[in-house]
Amino acid sequence: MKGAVSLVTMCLVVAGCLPAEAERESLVTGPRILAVRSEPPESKPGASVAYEALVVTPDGDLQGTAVGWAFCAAPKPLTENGSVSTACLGDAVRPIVGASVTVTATTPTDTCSLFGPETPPGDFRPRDPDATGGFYQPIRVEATGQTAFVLGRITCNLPNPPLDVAVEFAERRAPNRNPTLVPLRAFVNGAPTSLDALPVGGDVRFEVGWSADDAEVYPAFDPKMQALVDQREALRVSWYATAGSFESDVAGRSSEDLATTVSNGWRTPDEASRVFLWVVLRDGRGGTDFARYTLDVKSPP
Amino acid sequence: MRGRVAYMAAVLAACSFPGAAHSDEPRPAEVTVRAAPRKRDPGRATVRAAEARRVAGTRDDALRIVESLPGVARGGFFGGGLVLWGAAPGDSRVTVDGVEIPVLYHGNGLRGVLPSSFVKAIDLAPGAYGAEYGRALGGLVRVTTRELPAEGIHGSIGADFLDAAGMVSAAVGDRVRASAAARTSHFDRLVAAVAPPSVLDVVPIPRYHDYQLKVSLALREDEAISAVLLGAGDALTRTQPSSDPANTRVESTESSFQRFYLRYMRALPDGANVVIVPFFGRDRERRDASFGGVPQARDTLTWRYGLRASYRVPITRDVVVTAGVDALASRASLFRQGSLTLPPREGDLYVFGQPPGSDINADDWSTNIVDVGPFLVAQMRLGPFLVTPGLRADLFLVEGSRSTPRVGQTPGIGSSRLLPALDPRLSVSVSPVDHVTISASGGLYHQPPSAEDLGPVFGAPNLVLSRAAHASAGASVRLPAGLDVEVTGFFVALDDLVVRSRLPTPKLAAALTQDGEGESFGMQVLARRQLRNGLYGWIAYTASRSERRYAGERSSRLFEHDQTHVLTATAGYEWRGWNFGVRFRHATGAPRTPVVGSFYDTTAGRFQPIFGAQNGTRLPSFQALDLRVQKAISVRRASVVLSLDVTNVTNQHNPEEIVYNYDFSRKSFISGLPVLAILGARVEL
Repeated sequence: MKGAVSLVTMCLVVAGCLPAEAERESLVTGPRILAVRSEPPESKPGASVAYEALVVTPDGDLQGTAVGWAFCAAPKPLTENGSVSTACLGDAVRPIVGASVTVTATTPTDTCSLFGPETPPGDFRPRDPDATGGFYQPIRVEATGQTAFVLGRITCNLPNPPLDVAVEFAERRAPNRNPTLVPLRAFVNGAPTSLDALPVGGDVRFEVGWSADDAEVYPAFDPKMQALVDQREALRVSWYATAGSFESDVAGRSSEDLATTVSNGWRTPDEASRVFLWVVLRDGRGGTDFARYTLDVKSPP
Repeated sequence: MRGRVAYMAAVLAACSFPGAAHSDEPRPAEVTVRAAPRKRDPGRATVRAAEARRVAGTRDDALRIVESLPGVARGGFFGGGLVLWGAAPGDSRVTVDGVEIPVLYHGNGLRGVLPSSFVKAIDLAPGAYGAEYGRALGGLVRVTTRELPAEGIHGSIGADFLDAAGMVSAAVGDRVRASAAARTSHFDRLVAAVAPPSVLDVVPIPRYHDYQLKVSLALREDEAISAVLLGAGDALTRTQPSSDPANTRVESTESSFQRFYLRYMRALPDGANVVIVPFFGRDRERRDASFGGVPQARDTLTWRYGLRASYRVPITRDVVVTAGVDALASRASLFRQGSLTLPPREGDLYVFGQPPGSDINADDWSTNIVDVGPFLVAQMRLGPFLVTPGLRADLFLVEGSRSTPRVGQTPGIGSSRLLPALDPRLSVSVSPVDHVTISASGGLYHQPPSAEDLGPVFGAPNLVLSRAAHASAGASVRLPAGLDVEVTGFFVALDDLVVRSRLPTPKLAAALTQDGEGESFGMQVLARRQLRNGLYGWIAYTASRSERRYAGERSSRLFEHDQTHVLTATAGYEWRGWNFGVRFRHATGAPRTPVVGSFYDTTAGRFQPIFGAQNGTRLPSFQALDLRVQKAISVRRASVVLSLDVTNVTNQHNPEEIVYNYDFSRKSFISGLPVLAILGARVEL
């Protein structure tokens, strides 16, 4: 009896504390800004950068939609935990000329002061870099009533490094490059299959990859060791579709994992339909690539 | 001899527990007390361990009675510490026999850090206490350890679903008594055995242990010394693997403390008494975590040395003076790595479970904080009034190893400051008619900055003392049938609170400032029936409001732990070895900052919340009904105590935190414990 009571008790504990199952981010049910690709993904102040937004709806890409672009001009205060100051949702921005999904703009010359380690004259606290040692200029993107930010990596100096570290960093640093997706492959029951003939209510396994060079090795300043350490990029693939359900919304390879492909299961819809699929590859330092596919889910003949 | 022992006990009791202590334990038949009458501090409550452990919901754990007393906000399932009269959890103090310990509870509040068998009484002063104690802006929980049995060998062993514990005590000859106790948890292993592995990664259930050792030696007549060792520790490891490397979470935390102290007591022939308590201890707190490969680490090792000594002497028939010193030195070595915004501070904008900010840094530093606080308290009867003025003069030495962030291997330039504080305190009581006492208390309180806040990268090495002013007034009435009713109003003003700088680019080594201000005010009622004809219980109700703001701001916001209404009603009945207990609790939900929208961070591939008014909404209120049944059976010389505690009998879904879906468009709640039945058995010899 005592054992039975304890078992019931434990189950109740477990059932009571867990939150409800989360909704799936990968299912596109309305207009979304899924990604922005910057070329180059890392720029110096005053350099020109081309931006391309991936704006989608359940009916596919919106390549001709109007997109508003603006540089964020307000660094976030220490009391905010997010990636961007809430002031940049308002007027604390510098508009970028252009209203299409692709624009070209010059990275502000004061970006390393606003969002990097350069401080005004006097003893001020330099901003902290991210875990890859990078600083970022936020760029606001507005389309179809949605607001997004892309963080453009900026080339700035290190915050208060020892002199020898600063010299070594200047010699070894190389700007980040965008990774490149290799074409998507689909498998049903382990056999390659065409994207225009996927079975209704079936299980499909997708596989995408990138080249080995895309997981770049780069030097980063370790504030704990006060020295440069070599790090390797972790690559993540986000999956989005207008129907069906993925095994995972995001799959990827950690910095220790040298594999160059990831796969993901997808349960096809129960009815024959055309499904739009988007795949976004991110390298953890602002580098991005994306690809779009049209899937035809059909009943067996 | 017997009279002098009783006299000593009474005087010491008056020194330690001036509040109303009620017990069903037999008392000495004759007591001659020449000390001044007891003063009554408004809002103060004392509960003996034997009474506390019977209360439903405490699960035989005397220390957990604190959450059922007035002036105490309900702690959530995810911890939160003691919130007394609206003070932040870290701003109240817990002492055992006058020695400060860092926490009252293990982990997320499942257990107290001392077993009930080791505790004599718990005394709660949520504020406005006397000059004997300081270094805190908030309240005080004082635990006194039990006196050891005068003869024989005694022991107990018990277990329930949470843990297993044992204790043994022995009297060696006429002068030496010793006791040892230990406890270790197994709740996490039970859950792991019956639930999916992922459960322990979501629900934090730490593994805890504690141990105690006490040796008492009777010296000369009316003179005794005891040595006590206390230790407790918690450990928790959680791993949440994910196909997304940015969402993989690993967390390992450890916290522990040890205290060793001597307690010397002597009652002198002139009615005076001396208490001297030297101690030292060690605190360790370590957290290693990684969120998506971004490291988060904190490691703090603190050595503490202290002395509390007092000399209490009746000067005249109506005047008793206590002079003493309360000294504490702590040396801390600290390391921290990760985001500045994790863990969030009171006043930060965040949602539960939000990933840490992407910005990271690292720092290691050390601090020395020394405080010598002499105090003088006079207890005077002036006509019908009992007036207790007190003065405490603290001198703090605050030293830090670095005043600016580290650059390479360059030696840091340290900082050293002397910070004086003068804290006058006053308590006045009067009994205009029999069984009615009107009382008021107040004073100033200062608190040094914590070692964690003195780091040059994540904090500010130049922080000074924070201040509080407490005032309270109340009336207590003793009614027939053993019923006491006490009503207390309180007001606490807080100043120079340590808060996060709101500047995007603060000055170097100034990530924290002392621009915080706030107030707490409210009233509390305690209606309490002593054990009589087998029936006992109380109703504790607190209505309060606690606010915070940055200096210079005209409007205030709610304090993160503010709870407007907290009601606890307990009742128990003893009958032929059976003990039946019931407890009902209601508490207003804690404030939270609502999320009113979101935007998408395309670089991280993650939505970010847009916040509304800070602390502009609340969690739904909390209600729980708890039951306890206990049966004591005598088997020859042994006593077997069987108990069943059922927490949240009605299986109320009490929201403890708000969680959002991926784009923050919908929210849901993480509920606290559902109905939880805990069987326990204890054998006492």
